[in-house]
Amino acid sequence: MNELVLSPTDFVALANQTLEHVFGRAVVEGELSNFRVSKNKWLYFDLKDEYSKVACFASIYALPGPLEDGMVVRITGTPRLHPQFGFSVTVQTITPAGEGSIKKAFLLLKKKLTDEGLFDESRKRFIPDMPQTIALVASVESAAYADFIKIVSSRWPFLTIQVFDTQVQGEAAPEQLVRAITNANEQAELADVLVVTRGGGSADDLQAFNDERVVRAVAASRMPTVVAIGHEIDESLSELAADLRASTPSNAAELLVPDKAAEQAQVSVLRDTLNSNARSFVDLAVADSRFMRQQVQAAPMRMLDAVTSETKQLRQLLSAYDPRIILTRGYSLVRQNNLLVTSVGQVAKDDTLLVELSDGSVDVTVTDVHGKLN
Amino acid sequence: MAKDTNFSYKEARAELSDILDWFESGEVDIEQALAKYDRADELLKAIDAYLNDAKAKITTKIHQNS
Repeated sequence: MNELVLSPTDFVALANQTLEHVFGRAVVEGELSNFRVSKNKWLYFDLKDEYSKVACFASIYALPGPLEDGMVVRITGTPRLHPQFGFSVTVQTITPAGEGSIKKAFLLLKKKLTDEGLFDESRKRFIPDMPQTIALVASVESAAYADFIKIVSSRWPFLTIQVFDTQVQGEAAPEQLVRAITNANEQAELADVLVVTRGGGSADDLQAFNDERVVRAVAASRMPTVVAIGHEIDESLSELAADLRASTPSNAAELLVPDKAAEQAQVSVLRDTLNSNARSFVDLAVADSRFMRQQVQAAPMRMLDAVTSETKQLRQLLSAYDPRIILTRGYSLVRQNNLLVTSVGQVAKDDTLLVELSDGSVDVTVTDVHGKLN
Repeated sequence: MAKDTNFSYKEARAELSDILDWFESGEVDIEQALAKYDRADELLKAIDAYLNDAKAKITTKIHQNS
């Protein structure tokens, strides 16, 4: 019997072939230990349980967020025998597993990104009032997608929706979500707003939206973002990073586009208001012109009244100067041939004179003329 | 005088003012005083007639317009 003797290199090659044939891709879930990051590029850690531990190696890009020893994670990867360093699993995806670990991973990442300021209110942008184009990142097979499309089209049928299909749960979800968000942001015609949505699910189902890579992609979007994950109680980190959070896909649709029927009702109210304003404006103008007419009509009369009363005053003033007033006190005016007689030298015996009294005149004949005695 | 189409209220008013000014100047000439007083009386009567006529005209116009 010929034993097959192999060189170490051949053995390693054969072992790897066998492993690849048997496992292809292995999924392992266990407790994280000896977790470390090397050169900010590579991850080294062990997955262990009560009796065993498996060495793992991964690129930093597989990291879903901050991890700590003691957390339970599920990895997918290929087992390999390294020519120098022995057996390890080359890891493609890492996801926190089990309620405690998911929670822990969530809290660690939340703290890290909060400290970075990624969730700051000051970063939030306004969502345009009436977007014309919406970039939608969702799974086209999901109810969330159908709901969103249905509500948006019934409320506001004047929209263009760019759809970026992606898985929203499972190991591949984070990478696909990042690619879809990036893709949406690289369109020549950038949409007015980016919507990332999926329906409700278990904490496990929603993990992709707590993946650091996805959260950062949302935060980095050039378009304002709306993230709607169909669960109202726990917020995902993607929602915190979004400019606007919606509770459900339908809610996102309602927040984004106005309701055509409601808009029409509002326009009709506006038109009524305008009409009644216009009417009251005209009424006002009519009343004003009526008032002006009254003023105009009254003005000359007022002026005439003023002038009349002034004339009356003039008459009173003039009566004070009435030279004939003196006649009522017994004085008289004496005229001869219409000339006022003021001296005895002007008259002779037998002259006829006119004596003017207050209420008439008498003709008299001069019987004698007397000069002053002294 | 009120019927005179050449009647000018402004001129009548000015002449009346002049007469009053003359009386206020204190010049004593009974002959002139009598003449001026009679002229002033005439002017006032003309002004009264003119104003009454104007009032009537305006009242008519207002009734036509309203």
